[in-house]
Amino acid sequence: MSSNKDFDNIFNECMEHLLAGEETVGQCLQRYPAYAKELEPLLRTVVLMHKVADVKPSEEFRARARYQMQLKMAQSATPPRITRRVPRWAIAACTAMLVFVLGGGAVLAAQNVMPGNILYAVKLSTETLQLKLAGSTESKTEQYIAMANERITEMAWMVNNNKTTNLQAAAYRLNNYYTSIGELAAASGAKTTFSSAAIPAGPMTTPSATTVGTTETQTVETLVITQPVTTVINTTPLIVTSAPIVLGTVNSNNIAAAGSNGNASNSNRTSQLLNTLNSNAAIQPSEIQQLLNSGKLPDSVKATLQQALIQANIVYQSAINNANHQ
Amino acid sequence: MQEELNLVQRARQGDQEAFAQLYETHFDKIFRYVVLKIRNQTEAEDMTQQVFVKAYESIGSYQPQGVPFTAWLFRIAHNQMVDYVRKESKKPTVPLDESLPIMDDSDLEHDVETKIEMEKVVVATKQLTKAQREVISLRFAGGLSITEAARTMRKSEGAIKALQHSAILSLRKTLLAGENSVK
Repeated sequence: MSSNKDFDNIFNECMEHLLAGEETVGQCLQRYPAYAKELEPLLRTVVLMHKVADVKPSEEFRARARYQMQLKMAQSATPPRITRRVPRWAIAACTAMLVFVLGGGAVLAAQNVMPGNILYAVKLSTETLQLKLAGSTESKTEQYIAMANERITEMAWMVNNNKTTNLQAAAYRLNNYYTSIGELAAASGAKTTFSSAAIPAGPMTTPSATTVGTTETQTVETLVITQPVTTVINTTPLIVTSAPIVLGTVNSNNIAAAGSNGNASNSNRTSQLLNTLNSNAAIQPSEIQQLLNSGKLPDSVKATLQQALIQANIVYQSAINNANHQ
Repeated sequence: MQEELNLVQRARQGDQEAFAQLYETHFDKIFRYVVLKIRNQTEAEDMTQQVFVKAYESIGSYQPQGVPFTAWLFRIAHNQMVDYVRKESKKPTVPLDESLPIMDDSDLEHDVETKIEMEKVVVATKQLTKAQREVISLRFAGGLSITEAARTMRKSEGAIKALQHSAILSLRKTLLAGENSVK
């Protein structure tokens, strides 16, 4: 019995060393010559099993899975929270009730709260409700812009107050809003499709030293996007490191010029959309850039913000492109 | 270990960066565990993704004091496979040779050799009990330690060691019998 127990222990010990790559079968047998005859066939089987089990996912699958996971995280409007016990539908219902019963007092109170506050869910829910109530493309665009600006303000607040837990969620939301603005613009007649940039078909993409935007000295013609945003197949870990983005500022004069230089028959709808984007100082690249330069953002948040930045510029430039071609 | 606990805690609070790090750490292990159990690469890829999506969706309700994160993750994978097997049992069987995973190695000869060995092992594992098979999958494919495998299977470490030993012994006998029958 004792001998059996000894053998079991020796076998387990040798197996651990083999699996950890710390020892070969021969080395183990040398240490226990008395058990060598019994041990050897078992340890050879362990080595065979180890070899057979050494299957690695292909790089293609790894990249695809990583991208889809990131997309899943981006799509979840509210990331998993321990404290979240109230279902979303309940928050939405409460918001609607608060709006109609209390005349919006509680909702107004929620408007200035920051992530982490108990009323923050009400704030998001109110925004969503307002979005649903917005009828026209312009109204929806305005609402998305307001929501985007709110997220930027919140992110700046979180960075300044060292509250980084919800940064990523805010960055994802921001990216989603810009994608939605782009889709609205595209639906209203823009030539460029936005979804291809926002949701690339291949593996996860990450901006890599991409120059976007324009400078004030450029002519209106150069504002037209002629090439899609560069996408890079990412085979690095899900947490991507930031890459510098050279960002130009979107000049409101250029947008106005684009509108006036375009065909005189620009539709009112497109003009309104341009005005909406312009008059709301829609995209706040300088604020996003400040956040990126703050040195306080985790790499993954930076990557998401950079994507948001690219998306924001695509929205602008495509709107201008649209105006130029109409 | 403490580092993983911190990551898990952060992920539970909605920190996506922390979840991403956990994802990177466990991705290969989960894939290996799944692919060797269901032996169908395409399905295994889908299932591996589903495991992490499920983990992401559920991590807010995960209680670290109940079971270690690795064990929790492998239980998700195990449950996904149970569902898969239940569904697949109603379909015609896929020929084994077509369903074996493709090696990442470009050496064709090595691929073929490994595939043959793998097939022998797969056939041999069919002789094992359910519990023995699970231990072998967790230890070799999942790369789990004795302790982690014990927590995943809700068994004592001693029981895992015993299962592992008897499984290896049984595999050895089956493989040897196969070799002798060829001769």
